[in-house]
Amino acid sequence: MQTSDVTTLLARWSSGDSDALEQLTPIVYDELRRIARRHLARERRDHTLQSTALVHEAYMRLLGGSGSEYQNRQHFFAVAAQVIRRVLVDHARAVNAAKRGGGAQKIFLEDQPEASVPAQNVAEVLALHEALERLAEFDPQQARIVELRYFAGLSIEETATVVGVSPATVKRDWVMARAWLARELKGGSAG
Amino acid sequence: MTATRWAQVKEVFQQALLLDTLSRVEFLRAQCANDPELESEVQSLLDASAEDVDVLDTPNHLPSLGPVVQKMRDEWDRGDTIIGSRIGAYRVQSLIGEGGMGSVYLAVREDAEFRMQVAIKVLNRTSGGHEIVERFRLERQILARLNHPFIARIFDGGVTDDGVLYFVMEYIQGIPLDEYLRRTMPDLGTRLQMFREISSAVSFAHQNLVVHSDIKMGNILIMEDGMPKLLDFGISRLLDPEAKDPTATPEGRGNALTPAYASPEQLRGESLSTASDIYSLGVLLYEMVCGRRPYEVDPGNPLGILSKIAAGNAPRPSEISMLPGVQGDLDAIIFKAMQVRPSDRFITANQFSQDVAHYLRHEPVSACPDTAVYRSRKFLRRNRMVVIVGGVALASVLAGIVTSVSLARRAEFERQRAEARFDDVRQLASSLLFDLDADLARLPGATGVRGKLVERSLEYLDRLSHESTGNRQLERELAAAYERLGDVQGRTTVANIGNTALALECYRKALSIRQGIEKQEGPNAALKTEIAQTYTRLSGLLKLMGDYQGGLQYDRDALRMYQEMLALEPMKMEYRRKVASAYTALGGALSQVGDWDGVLEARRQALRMFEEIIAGGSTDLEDRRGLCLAHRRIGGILLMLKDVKASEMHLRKALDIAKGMLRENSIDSRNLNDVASGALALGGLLHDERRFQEAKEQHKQALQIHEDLAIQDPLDARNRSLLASALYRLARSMVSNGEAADALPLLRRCLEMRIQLAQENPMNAGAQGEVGESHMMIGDCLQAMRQTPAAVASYRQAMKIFQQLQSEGRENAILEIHRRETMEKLRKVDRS
Repeated sequence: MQTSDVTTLLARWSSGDSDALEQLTPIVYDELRRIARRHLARERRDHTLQSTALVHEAYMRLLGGSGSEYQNRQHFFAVAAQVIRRVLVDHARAVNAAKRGGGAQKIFLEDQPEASVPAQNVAEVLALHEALERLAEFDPQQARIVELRYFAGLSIEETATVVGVSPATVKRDWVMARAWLARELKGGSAG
Repeated sequence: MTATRWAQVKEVFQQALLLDTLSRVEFLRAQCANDPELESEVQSLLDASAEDVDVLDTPNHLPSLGPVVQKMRDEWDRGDTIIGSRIGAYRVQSLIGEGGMGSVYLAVREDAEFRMQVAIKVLNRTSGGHEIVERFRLERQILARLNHPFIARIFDGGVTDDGVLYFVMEYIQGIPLDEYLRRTMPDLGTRLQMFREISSAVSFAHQNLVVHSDIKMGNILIMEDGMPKLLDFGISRLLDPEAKDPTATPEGRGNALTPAYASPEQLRGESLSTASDIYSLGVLLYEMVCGRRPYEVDPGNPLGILSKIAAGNAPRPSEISMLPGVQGDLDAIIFKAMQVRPSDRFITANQFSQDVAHYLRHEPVSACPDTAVYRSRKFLRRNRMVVIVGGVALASVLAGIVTSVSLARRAEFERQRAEARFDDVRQLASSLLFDLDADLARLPGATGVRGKLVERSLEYLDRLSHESTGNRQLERELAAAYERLGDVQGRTTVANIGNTALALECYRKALSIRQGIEKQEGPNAALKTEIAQTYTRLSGLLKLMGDYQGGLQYDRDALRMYQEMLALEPMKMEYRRKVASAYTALGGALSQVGDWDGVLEARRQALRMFEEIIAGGSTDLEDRRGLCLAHRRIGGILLMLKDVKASEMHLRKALDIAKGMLRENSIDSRNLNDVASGALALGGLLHDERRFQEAKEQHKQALQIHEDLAIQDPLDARNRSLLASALYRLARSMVSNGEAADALPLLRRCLEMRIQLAQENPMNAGAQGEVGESHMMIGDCLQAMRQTPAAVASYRQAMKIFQQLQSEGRENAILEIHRRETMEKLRKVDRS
């Protein structure tokens, strides 16, 4: 995949072309997992792969050398956050299905998804995802901020540029969304 | 929540957030004067915002991303990431070669002072890695023994962080055999000599119970000095250990075999044996001599080679070889190795090699199929000696014979001959199991060898049992063999290696075979005895695993069986004995479910019957032992029912009988055990009577005996368990006698031993309970030493175990008492 293609797709997507997102997602996904693989091949098992590093490296590989626009970077992060969220949620569902003994719905995954992922993480990811979906119904911006912060590991500042608001707003929204999610997750209601 | 309402909440919340806690209350009250719901919503969010949210607050969170991505394996980007990466202690340097199974890399050990080069084989397969590594771990010692000049060593194996399976091997600088032959064009003599070297490596491996199962040109490297090195010994078998599924294609089995060299039985997915390697060696020699393979493989239909093998019309080497000196005798040698039926091939690689040597020296060759039966018998006899000496070496022998039998049986016209050989196998299996095991059982220190021997045998028995259907005599022998296997695996009353699950499986197999026969033949006394015997063993195991009701049921069944037999022949001493023993066992089962009245009744019955037997004039050691046990048991239940006086009388009687037997034979470990048990029982009573000094003496006696036995056979799980109990009892009396500080080290040792025992056999509920019991006693001990906080910690640990067992439904009456007592102790400590 050429860098220019990614740039074009990002531009098309930012101008409202939802097809572009569909094409973009697998590219970003592939890149993310390639990077992740390399990290995992180099590092020890207990190494915690940080999503921030992952996303930034993916960006550099896909767009870095091209001198592409500032805007692209923000769109890219937004796509990356969505991709990672999807991977994690699909994975968590596959683990759950495998635990129930049903035919696992393996979208991104291959064998034995349950092998090395602590059950708690799985439950957490699913609960968070579902709570975020509810949050998005009445405050999509807060939901998006959480997505970028949590799934792509973006800082307040980075999040602010992606969402297009001031860092102060991100901070306020983050605190409130976090409080709301804390209450939701504590209540254990997973939708 | 609607968006509008949320906007309202947000407005108030975010303003309130800027205020300090006190001002917030006023602010909220003012803002939400007419809207208590709004106030409570904001307040609740404010409260929540002060809480930690682990999911969100962990910096650089994404806890599960690593493992997720780790799962995403891509063949295409593996190669470039492996070079330069670390595998185990090695840094991968370059790709040496690629093959069907995987790629081989040159790597260097980094932490070593000298730069040690190794070859790392990285396998293509992405699943089952950890299972294979587990097998590798088990086989590691065997592979490590393969220290032979012509075999490339395998140092290590494992799974990389991203789930790739690898083996670390000796790095050989050489070229594959086929290429070497093309380049150097050696004469026939050199080739045959080289083949003999290869055979010697294979033979060496076979003697170490390793089958190669993928011998081929590409797996043999020739080094600069012309020496061959065989690669990958044991690896394909690790990858494909049993080849159980006959429908599995070679592809489906991970390319662990190469069709052009694979034996027909291997191609069919049947069990592998040394005979399969002999076949592959035959193909190898054919190719070394002719420059081509006997049968070509159609890439579209690799299994099609089977029909070519069956047709058996490979061109004779003497007709197609370009080398001078290839004659008919060499054809005979090669084709003998390549026989369809394993039994028709050379029996050992050594024999094959010998025949090649004969040919080299122009001596007559031995390829003569009629003598196969005779030879195999002789071979088996020889190998039985090996087994007796070495303890393990029967696996490959039996495997080869069993396979040949099952193949031979398929051909009707060979029926007679096949059955004769089948008989040999059966006798071999039985004699190995019975004679040998009986020998080993008497030998202290042999528990480990017995376990290994028996485990191997189980595989072959399972295979034999498929063959035995319809043959009553054989079926009965099989059942007995399973039972014997079960005994070694975990029977509770003799030395055992503590593998309860395997033992259970063996006993169930034995029972089902015997019940099957009974169904067909109708009842007879011998069969009834055998079935009852299995019931008793099953009961013992189930109780050990904490299924007390299940055990009880088997004990009742066994008693019923023996009573039926005794009713038919009331004068028969043997049946009387059996019923008496069955009562003893039933009493034990009832005590585990807390039916004390039932226990007392069963104990009385047992004692009455043994007294009758002895009064009838029996001096049989087993009867005396039975009477001893009956006294000890009834003493136990009487103590439980607080009839201390009667109890002490019975316990002293039991100890006297045991000491009497020990005086007559001080080596028999059963006499030692009986004295120790008697001393422990009496010690328990004396302890309860607060005669601690006397109790200590009895417990010391028991402890000494078990210490001695442990030195003789440190692996015996049962003795270690009894040793721990003796420690426990002695320590308990010491604590009560005001010697807590001296008791503590004993208790710590006891705890350590019991934890070890419980880990070795997690299905044993009693062992888990004893860990709890030890914690409880350490708590008592610490409490007596006025170390209350430490005591509380020990009680809590005990509680945790007791509650765990209770929640799993594995609590027996004793454990329930322990649990309640511990709970009470904790409460007491809390109150004070």
